[in-house]
This record gives sequence, structure tokens and C-alpha cells, in this order.
Amino acid sequence: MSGKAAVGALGVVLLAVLIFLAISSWSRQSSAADAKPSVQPINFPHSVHVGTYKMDCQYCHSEARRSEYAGLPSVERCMGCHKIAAADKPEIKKLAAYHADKKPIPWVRVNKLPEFTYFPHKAHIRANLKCQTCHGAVETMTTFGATTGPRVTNDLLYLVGLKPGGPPLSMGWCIECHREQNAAGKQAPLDCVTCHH
Amino acid sequence: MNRRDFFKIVTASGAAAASGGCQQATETILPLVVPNDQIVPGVASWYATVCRECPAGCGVIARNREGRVVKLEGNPDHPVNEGALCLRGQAALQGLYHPDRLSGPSVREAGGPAKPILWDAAEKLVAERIGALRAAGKGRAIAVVSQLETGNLGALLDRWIQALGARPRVTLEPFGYESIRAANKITFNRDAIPHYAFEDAEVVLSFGADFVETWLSNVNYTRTFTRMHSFRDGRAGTFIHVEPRQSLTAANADEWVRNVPGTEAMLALAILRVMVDEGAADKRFAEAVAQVDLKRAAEETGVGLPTIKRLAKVFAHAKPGLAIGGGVAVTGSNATQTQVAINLLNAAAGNVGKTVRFGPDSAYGKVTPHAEVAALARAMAGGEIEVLVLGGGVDPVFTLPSGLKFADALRKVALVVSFANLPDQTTELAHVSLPDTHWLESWGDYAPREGVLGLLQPTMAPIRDARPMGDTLLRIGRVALGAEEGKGPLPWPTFEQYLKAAWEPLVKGQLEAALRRGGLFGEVAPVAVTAKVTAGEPAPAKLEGDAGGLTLLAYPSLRFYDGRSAVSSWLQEAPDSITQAVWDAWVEVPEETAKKLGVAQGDMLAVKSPHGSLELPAYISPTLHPGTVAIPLGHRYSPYQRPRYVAADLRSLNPMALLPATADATSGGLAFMAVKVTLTKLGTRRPLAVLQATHDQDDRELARHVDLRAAREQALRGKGPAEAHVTMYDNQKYPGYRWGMSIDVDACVGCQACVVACQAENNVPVVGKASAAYGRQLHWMRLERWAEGSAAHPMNMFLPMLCQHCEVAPCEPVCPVYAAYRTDEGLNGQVYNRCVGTRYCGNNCPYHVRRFNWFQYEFPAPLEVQLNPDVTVRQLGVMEKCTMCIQRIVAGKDRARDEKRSVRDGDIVPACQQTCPTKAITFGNLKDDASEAAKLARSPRAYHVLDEIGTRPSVTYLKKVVREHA
Repeated sequence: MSGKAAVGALGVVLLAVLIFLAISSWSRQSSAADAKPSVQPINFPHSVHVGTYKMDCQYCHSEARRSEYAGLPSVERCMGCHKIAAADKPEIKKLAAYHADKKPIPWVRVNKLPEFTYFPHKAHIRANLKCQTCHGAVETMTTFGATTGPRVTNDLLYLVGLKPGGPPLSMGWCIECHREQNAAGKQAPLDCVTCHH
Repeated sequence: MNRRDFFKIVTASGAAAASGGCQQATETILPLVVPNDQIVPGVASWYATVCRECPAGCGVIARNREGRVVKLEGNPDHPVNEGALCLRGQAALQGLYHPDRLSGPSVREAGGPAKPILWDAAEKLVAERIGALRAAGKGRAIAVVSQLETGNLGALLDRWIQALGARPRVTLEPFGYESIRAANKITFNRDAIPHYAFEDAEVVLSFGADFVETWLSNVNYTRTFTRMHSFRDGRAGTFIHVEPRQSLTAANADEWVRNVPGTEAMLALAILRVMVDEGAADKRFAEAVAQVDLKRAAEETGVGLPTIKRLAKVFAHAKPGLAIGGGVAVTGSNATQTQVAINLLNAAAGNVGKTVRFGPDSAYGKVTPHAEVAALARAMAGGEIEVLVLGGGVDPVFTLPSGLKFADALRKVALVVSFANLPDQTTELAHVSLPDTHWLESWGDYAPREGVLGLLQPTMAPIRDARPMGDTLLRIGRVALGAEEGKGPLPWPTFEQYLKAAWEPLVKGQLEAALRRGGLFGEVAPVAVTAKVTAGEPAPAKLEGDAGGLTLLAYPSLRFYDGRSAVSSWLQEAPDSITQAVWDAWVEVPEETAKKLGVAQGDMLAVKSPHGSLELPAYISPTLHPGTVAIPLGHRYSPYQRPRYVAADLRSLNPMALLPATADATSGGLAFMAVKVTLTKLGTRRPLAVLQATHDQDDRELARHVDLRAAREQALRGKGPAEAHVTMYDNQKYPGYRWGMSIDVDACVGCQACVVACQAENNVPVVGKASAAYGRQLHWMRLERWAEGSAAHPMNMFLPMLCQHCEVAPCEPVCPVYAAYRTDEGLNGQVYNRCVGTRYCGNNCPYHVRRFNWFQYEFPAPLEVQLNPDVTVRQLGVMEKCTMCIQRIVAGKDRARDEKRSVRDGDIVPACQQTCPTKAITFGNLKDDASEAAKLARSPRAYHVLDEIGTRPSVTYLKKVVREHA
């Protein structure tokens, strides 16, 4: 193979990579709200809280039923149990340190909808929707968003038309569900300006 | 580099960019450490407090989201404003989040820049100087100037002054209405400003009182005026306004009488004379008008005998009527005489006790007369004052006439302490700056009239390093007295504790309920007064300056009051309703004079008086009295606005620079109308940004009117059958609600409150003078003024214009991306994330209500904190327009579903309707026949703007009702 051909081949490969990345980033855009695994300041296992101890989501995310946001538990609420429960574990010691310093825990945001979208948790809780419908099987997640997020394998699966991990939280997906609900006699709005205003 | 290398690099970097672009910036979300039961993230909390933008003292409720206030609304429980708020109240948030707010205490050596200092050091510096003066027995060298504080802050200041032996406090309100008090003392033996019950009057006769704009209590009087005047409320009273200039108040009059400036007293007495002559008034008033020569009066006032006779007839027959006066613009050296004449008119017509009510007296009666302010200035100039303490809200260098030479006097004071939290002309000369908290961050109370005590509570934590003035003064006072906390005459650790101790006997343990309501509201028993008839020799106001010059009318601005609200960019960009000019100030020149000088609109003129000169662009007025010029008061810019929004031209806009220190001899009030000026054409231009090109409808019938008689007839019998709409389209079906709006042109007074409320609610950016002049303003709502009739007797109509949410909307079919579409609930939706910015919709809108984001507009920090989190902040290249407050509709429906019911009438109130002092705007479900909006839409006065083009708007207008004799 001549040097010229090698450069040409390299160019083709690079172009292919570029196209793949463009498509995958586009596919991520369409599911911009996908959970993205991140390194959290405290390694918080949803699987233990929701899976093992069967705690209600709204025990911690207590704003979900009355607000647009689901909310995070205050540090005090965490300490309500962890003053005693598992107080000797290293991750809980980190929590205790935040509490002692009266500092908020800088959790890294995992779910985020685009800012031109208004999504009220409250209306969905009122409609008796399970949190898992949108957020995936939280009770199995040791790191929230790790299995459902935009990873290369997930991107590849999306490309070939499969739907890996959790729900994509894309507009089409929302609309689909709203249509199904309406067909079942419920009142789920389909008006653009309900969410985009 | 060859072509291949270029491609290699481009592909590689493109790939890098693409992969890099996938990573979203990490965002942290912080939980509360300790839960706050008053804050639910995402749910607004509301706190009641009192607006302190002017002495009217309206009740306010502040919408707090996640700890920061994002919107102000009128407090419906407050007796002064009953839920409404004027544009200055709406724009108070711009003062709270002002980019120029002082970041903390500072000191300044003479002539040098301000240097930051620690609070303790700054307080010590002031306390030591005050302590030394007190120890030396020179307490009288300490002077305190504050704005009108009728509540406990005033009481605390007085205690502080007493404890330190300082001079009695000076309450500086540039618009003090001293002449009303002095005249009431003469006629009724009562040094007070009464409450005027507009709602009970059949005829209001105003001599220059601009109650729609600033006079005493603009929201209260506008609201009660509408009750007596608007046809909707079934009263249809008559309003006659006498003023040389067509102010906004004059524009709302059924009859505007243009008089020679300064002749109001003569006119009032002439009217009284006619009443006496025709037996419409008691004979004892004959004494007062014995010297009045009607012919001479007609000549000198320029009103004409037939008009005087007609006014007398209309006023005398009213049961009851109401005569008012004392607008700042026409306050001259004869102001008290004018007020006495007005008092006599009220007494002769039997209005005292009915529409003029003593007892619930106005707080303005407690203002220090201007003569005492002048005395303080003289003492300062004479070196008698060594420490001057200036409270927030006062800017004497700007608001006092140049003839008083206050700035020079201030320079003679060794230590000037300022509590202002924004820089102004006075703080530039202060030595120590101890920024006070904004009123939205403060505890306090304010009584706008007897019987009404509004309570202030912090609606959020201070955004800057500011401390309440009361706290700072308590600490300074204790150090100066050498007393410890809890001891001496100033024992309270904080002002909050002082307040709560003072409130306890009033609230009796029910503090929380009182705070929630916004105050303690009671009724005060009326005080009966008898009128003393005094003979008056009516004299015109004395005017200084060139006898051949033009009388200067310096009038208070609806938007800026005395200048304290001018820091707000929202207000700078809200058009002046009459001229429709934004940002700049101007000199209003009568057409005749302009022709003589050869000036066109925007030509620069030098305005000269014996006391100073000013250079302003000309606004040519077809209505202004020949022989006068008018300049609005209060125009100034704050530092961040230049050159961001206006050119960096540092020339003054303040007509106080032209005024002498003349006071009305009887009342001690400042004479605002005291000088004649000359005009010189400068040959340069500074075009004004005027947002409405013409006030002539040219038979388009945008704003319509109907005669009072015809309106009554139609109200009784209904209108003839309307022509059926011919259409080739199917009628749209509305499965749920159909939202719509009714706007009563008869009730609208053109005060612009809705325009600013909309801007606050919907994150509408400010564009600046150059862009506005280019027609790129972004207001979703505008107030059009349309004038009919002759220039000397125009009939003005104010038309609030917003997206009409047409059923057959011209904007929708031209959108290539379906960003503009019709919703199932009768709205024209605009989806920002679909919009690609072709602007076809804006071009195809016959109402011209769509706005385009020509630039990426900024919200200079910390103004971005004010943004409504429920509304998208639009970006460059996006079309936007009125949504009928879709976020409030969504919230209203959500609330209804919580309660398992459908939306009731009144559940959803858009921002414009909420703030409207005249209740001209009504939103509702048009499918519900019982809803207020639907009822109004069926009124015989109802019409649609441009209905001939078949857009079928969801906004219905109600015609203005014109009185026959006008």
C-alpha cells in the first residue's frame, strides 16, 4: 500500500468516525434528558435504598408531588436515618462531615431537560405515574444513570434501532405516552405550549 | 499546506470538536442542609409588604421563587391600591437587582474615589465624629434628612436625633403639596391633606392635579376615578381638567380646558362668582368673589366666558362634585391662593365632608415644607452643619432647584453620611456611604393615610452587603453616646426588635396574621370642618426671567416620579404615553414657537433661565399652550445604562437646573412654575426614539368611541343585529376552554402599568434607545394613543395592543416550520424551539405585535436573578409575542385539577390584568357564558380591531364613551 493510499484510508476512517459521532451526538440530543452517570461526591446506591429497603421515592424526593421539581432530600433528612444506620461506613462519614459543616452536598446533576421545556413532576405524580416509567429501574441502580445513559454501546444500539437502557425522555417518547393515555380516556395535554413556553 | 493536509487537519479537529461537543458541562444541584418549611423549590411563596417607590404607600405582594423575588403584584387586601400597582411599583425589582447597587460601605476623601471599608470601621468613623460634636455641646451641627417616613423608622430617627441633641429631622419630598395644607389651614382650620373620595363624585373638576400620574396617590385615585367615570360601572361621571399642557390626566378628561399658566386661582374664583351670581352657591360666598371681574378673568385665563359659565353650571349641579388642584407643574408663587379658591369651590358646592374627607388624612401632610429644607441649605452653606445624615430615597442635589445651590452647600459640610444603596448625584458628594437594604429586603412600616398602617417585611435576603439603616443608626448612636446594648435611650439591638416591640400593642400577638394581610387597616372617623370664607385678590403667579420668554412647566413624570425610579431600564423603555418617547428627555415646544424658531422634532435646543441652562431635543407639541414650554422632571440615567442603552452623553436632563429657589410665601412650598425661559436653536440634532409614528387613526377605527346617549340607549335596548360574518372556513371547535380577553377602552387611562407588568412577568429584555428608535423594542404589549378632534380640544383614546390570538391568524400559515400554530384553547402558540427566525409571521401580522430577537439580549448581573423561572428566556433569532401568560394558564389548570374541578372564572389572571388600576382588562373563558370576559364581549360597545379583515380575534375591545358636551 502506498503512502498516499494509507492517508486516503485514514481519511475515510476518520470521516466514518466523524459521521458516527455526529449521528450519535444527534441521537443523544434527541434524548438530551438521558441519565448520565457521573462521579458523585458520595457514592449513593439507589439499589440499597429503593431495592433492598423498599423506601418510597417521595420519602427523599418529597417535592415531586407538589412542585415542578422532584427535589433532593435535605442533608438533615439523610442524617435522620444515618445518624444511626450504617454510621460507621466511609461514605456515611462523608455525609456526616457535610452535616457537621452545615454544607450542602454538591450532587452532580444526572437528569436534565432542555431549558425551553417545562416538565412538572407534580402533574405526573397526580396521574399516578410510577417514577420508573421515566427514570428506569432505579431500584437496580448502584450508580444512578450508569446503565441507561448515553454510552458508546448504547449509542451503537440506538443506531441499529434498538432501545437499550432506560426510556430516552425525548419529546416523541413523551407524546407517544400522552397519546396512549388519552386513548385510555385520561386527559394528557398534547399542546406544544403546555411544555414549551 | 497542500489540500490533503488541510483535509486531514479539518477531519481530525472536526472529530475532536464533535466528540468534545457531546459532553455537557457538569452541573451541581445543592440540597438544603436544613429544610425550610417556607420554601418548596419550584413553588412560589408570597410575602406582603409595602411599596416605597413613592409616598403613596401601596400594598405589594412579592412572589419569591427559591429565595429570590421575581415579581411584584398589588396586595388585594390593601385599602390604598386594592390589588393594582403602577408601573413604578412593578419596576421596583429593577432597583432591587440593580447592577449599580453599592456592594458595601465605603469612604471617600474630598475629591477622591470611594474606597471600600469594613462596616465596623465606617460606623466608628461616623460615631466618633457625632460623639465628639455631642460632647462639645454642638449637637445642633448634626442634621438628618430622610424621605417621608410616617412609621416607626421615622419615630426611631426622631429618638436618635433627640438622644444626640441633633436638629429636628427634615423630611424631604420634592413634591410636598404644602399649598394644599396651608390652604386647608386657612379655609378649614386644619393643617392636613384630606382624602378625596373620587368614587362618590359626579363631576371632578381638576386644576392641574395630575392624579393619573403622580398626584398624592395615583393608583388609589385612578382606581376610584374610574369608578365614578367609566361607563361600565354605570356612573359615567364627568371629568374636567384645567391645565396649560395636555398631561396624561388631561388626556383622560371629558373636557380639557387649556388655560394661561398660573391663572388657576382666577379661574376657580370666576367659576365661584358665576355660581354665586346664578344662585347656585350660598350668598356668604359672595364676599370671596366680590372683586372678581368675570370679563377680566376670561381674558387673563384665556378660557373664555362661555366656558367659565358652562363649567360653573356643570360643577354646581353635581351632587356632589369634587374640585382638586395642586399639580406640581402648576405650583407657582400663588399656589396657596389657588388652593383656597378650590376649597371655596368645594365648600360652596357642598362637597366638604362628602367627597373631601378630613380624618383619613394623607401622609403627605407630614412632609417638611420646602422653606425649612431651604433653611437647612442656608445653614449648611453658612458652615453651621458639620454632619449631614442622608437617608435612602433622597437625592437633594438632583431634586432641589439649582437656585438653592444645594451642591455647593453640601461641600461645606465636613462629614456627609449617605444611606442610599444606589449611586446618585448626592452620593457622589458623600464622604461615608452606609448602604441601606432595599425596601424589599427590609422590616418597616408605613402609614399612607390615617387609619392605614402597612407593614414591611423582608421578602428575601439582601443581595448585596447592605444593612438596615435603623440597625446602623442604633449602633452608631450607642457608640456616640457611649452606651451599651440594652441600655440608654437607644437600647434595641436591631431595628427589627424595635419595630416588633412597637407593633405588639397594635397586633396583640397576631403579628403573623397582620404581616400576611399586609398591615393593619381600619377606618378613621371623619372630622367635620366648617369653611371660613376669605376674600381673595386673584393674582397670576410671579415669574422670574426674560419677560418675553416662555413659561417653563417642569412636570413630574409618571415613570420616574422625582427621579428616584429613573434607575429602572424598564421604565426608561416604557414609552411616555403622550409623546410615546422612550429613554431620552425632551423639551415640549408649542407648534407656533417651533415654527418661529424653525425647529423640527429632535433638533437640539438650549433652554436658558437666569439660574442655568439645559440642552435638550425638541418635541413639537400641537397641544401645548403657546407661551409655554414643558420639560419632564426626574430624567436621569444610572451608570450601567451608558453606553449600553443610551449614548455616553453626559449632558443633564434635569429641568431643576433652570429653577430659582422661589417658594410660595404662605405655604413655604417650592414654586415649580416660577421662571420664564428662552430657547435657542443649537443646530445639532438628537432624534428622539418615538415608538408611535402618528396619533391620527386616519379613519382606520382602531380605537372607537360612542356617544354617551347612544351607549345608554344600546345598554338599555341592545345593539341592532350584527352582520353575520361571511367565511369560507369551518368554525374552529374548542374541546375544552377558549381563552379570550376583553379590554375596555373607556376605562383605560394609558398609565403603562400593564406594559411594565408584562415585561416583568415574561422576561422581556430591554433594547436601548438606538434599537427602540429602529422599531426593535420587544414589548409584548403597547399602549397606543389615538387622538381625534382639533389640536386645542383633542379627544384621546388609549388602546392597549397585544397579540389578538386570532381564530384565523395571518401569522400561522406563513410559518415554514409550524412554530406559530393555533392551540385547541384559542391561543396562538409560539414554539420558540421550533422558530428559525424567518420573520414571515411578524411581517404578516396586521396588528404588528410580534417581536423579533435581533440580538442576544443580556440581563446584566444581578438582573438575571429576577427572570421568571416559568418562562423561557428567548435567544437571538427567535420570534416572540404575547402568550396571554400561558404559564399562568398552565398553573391555573393545574390548581383546578388538584381540586378536581374545572377552571373557574377569575382563577387565571394574566400579569397585565392583575396590575391594571382601572380594571380595563378582563381575561377569561369565552365558552363560559357566565364568565366576565364573555359577558363583556357581548356588550353593545364590543368590537374587534380591524374586524374587516376577518381575523376573528380573541381580544374584544369596548368602545370609549364620549360625553355629549365635550
